[in-house]
Amino acid sequence: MTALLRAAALLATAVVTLTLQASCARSVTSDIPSDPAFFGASTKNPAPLGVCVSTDCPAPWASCPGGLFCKTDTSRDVGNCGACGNECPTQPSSHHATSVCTGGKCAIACDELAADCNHQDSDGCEVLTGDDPLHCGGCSNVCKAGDICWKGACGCPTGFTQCGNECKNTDHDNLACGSCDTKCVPPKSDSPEWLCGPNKQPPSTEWTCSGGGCHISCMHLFGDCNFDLCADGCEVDEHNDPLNCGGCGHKCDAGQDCMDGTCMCPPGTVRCDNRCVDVNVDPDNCGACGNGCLGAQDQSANGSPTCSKGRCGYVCYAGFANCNSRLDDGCEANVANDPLNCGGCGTKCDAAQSQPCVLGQCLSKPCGPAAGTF
Amino acid sequence: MRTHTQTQRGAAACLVALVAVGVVPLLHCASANGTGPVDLDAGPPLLPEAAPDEAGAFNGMTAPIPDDVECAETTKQIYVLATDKALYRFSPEKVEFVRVGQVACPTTAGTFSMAIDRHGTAWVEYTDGRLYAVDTADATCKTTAFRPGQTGFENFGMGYSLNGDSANGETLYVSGAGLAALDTKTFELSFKGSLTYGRTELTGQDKKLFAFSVGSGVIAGLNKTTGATEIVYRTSAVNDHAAFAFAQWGGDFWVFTGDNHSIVTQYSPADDKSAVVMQDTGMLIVGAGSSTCAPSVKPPK
Repeated sequence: MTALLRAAALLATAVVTLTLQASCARSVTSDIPSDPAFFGASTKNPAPLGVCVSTDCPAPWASCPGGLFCKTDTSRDVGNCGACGNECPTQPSSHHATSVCTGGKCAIACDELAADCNHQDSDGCEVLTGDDPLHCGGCSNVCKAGDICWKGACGCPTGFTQCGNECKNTDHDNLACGSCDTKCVPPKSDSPEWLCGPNKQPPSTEWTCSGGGCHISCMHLFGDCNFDLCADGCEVDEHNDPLNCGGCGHKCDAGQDCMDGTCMCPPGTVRCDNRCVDVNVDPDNCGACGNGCLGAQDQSANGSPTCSKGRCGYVCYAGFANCNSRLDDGCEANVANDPLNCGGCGTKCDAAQSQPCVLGQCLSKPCGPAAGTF
Repeated sequence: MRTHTQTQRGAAACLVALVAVGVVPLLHCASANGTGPVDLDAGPPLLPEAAPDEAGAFNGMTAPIPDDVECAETTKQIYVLATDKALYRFSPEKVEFVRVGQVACPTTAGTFSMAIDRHGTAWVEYTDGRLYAVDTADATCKTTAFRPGQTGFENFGMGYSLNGDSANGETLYVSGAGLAALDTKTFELSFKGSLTYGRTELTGQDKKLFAFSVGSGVIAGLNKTTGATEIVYRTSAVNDHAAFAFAQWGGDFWVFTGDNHSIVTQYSPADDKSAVVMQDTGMLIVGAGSSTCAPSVKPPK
């Protein structure tokens, strides 16, 4: 009797502990989704008292070929959509679409400015809606008579002029200046647009379209800061003048340089090569210019060098861990599904029973012949 | 909301269990927010551990961004992210930028897009497809479990939209190979449907969701369930090759476009007018976001 009571008490404690672990896990930040279905893992014992190893993958997870141990999410995997081996069809380019698996079902995502108006997957997104006035931006959007369909919308935006099948901003377009077919080029020598006399073009100026007319104006990042255009043109090179950086009278602060019309560098940053960086946080220039932090950083590394307070470090992306303490392979362990590092480095699921790791927990179920998988 | 709600839920569950058993070690929820001491007996840590730094020590960088306050004043502005990886707060009323700081996410990739939640976290996607959580108060950065490249979403625009009224929370939507919702608890994408326009950024206006397409200058009101376009606005911010960003504030849309330095265009759907309100921001803006706390109608002056 005493033994029975003791066993019952132990079982109750185990259940409560597991419930607590599940509820506490939910309150931890969201890096690995925790689910009460997958409790049971422990750093000391993957299968606590009253809980047995399970190898039955909970939906939507499955052990598909090439992705054993419940590593395939059949709700999203286009190669195993809804079930192992159920591959969503590849869409030819003529379909203007991509196959996706959503909720365990194959679907198509139309390319931009294409639509599936007949709702037949067999021909994909068969209507191009970018310039079709009968299907402008959508299957049933018909433009008014005379309106063009331009980039998926009827007519032209405010400030734009319809030029054939296109919309152009004739205020600023050097190829359609003031009207659709007017290019902005130097006018005849008797034109009043020659402000400084016939065919006299001041230094560092060009003809540009503004306000729908073609005028002499300063070239990009040159300024007529003395307001004497005809005498010396746009005499200030605003690329690198700290007194006129990017504009007349725009002074850089003490200690700043003017680079390509921008004062460098903002407070709290220093110039390394041609970039302004905060050496306290920049992994490429940590503590000092050129001091790059070590460690793998490509996509497969699942981690990245860090710089904090001018000191290098390395951080794993959430869900991954650097279990071998090497930086050259980054954070090699996927602790969400690695049975050898399940939820954390060194937490092993039961290899002898091929116990999978799902969402960072070794898969378990209550013991007993009638118990199903949690 | 993420940290706050989950912590509350976890604490409540612990309390119920405590009452049921009578004796429960408090340590089981002591590290629930990831900032307290970790109890090794409470099961495996769910957060990843950092690898050793140069000195061989382990330095975890997993603390959540602590902000339990919803809709603080600073969440009511627009935030922008520039190619210099600096975060700026943009005041539409003053038409001025204030630098918050340099975003220190642990990657050498460039910044791509951004969305802001109601607790002042900026979710920032980088050009390598990684997603980071950045504190808009000081630009500090945290990694996330987001797996790049899900369902063809290598790079995407982002924006929050309310689920109903503000009591029902909000959802982060992303636009890439269609429209999807991104769960910031599981970091899984849920595909919603195709999008008409390509190269889009998203923004919410209360429970509405809008996409801006820089190639056409179109702002499309989206059906959040299917991605279908329900309304189209035309802006003058058309630029096939520009970097771009987009946010809602005060019922208007604020569009940041540029090849070298960005310009700021304000588009007002009420009168269908575009106006360039800043010709040169002095930086190239690649991400912008306003939270669903930002005003959705023009505030009184």
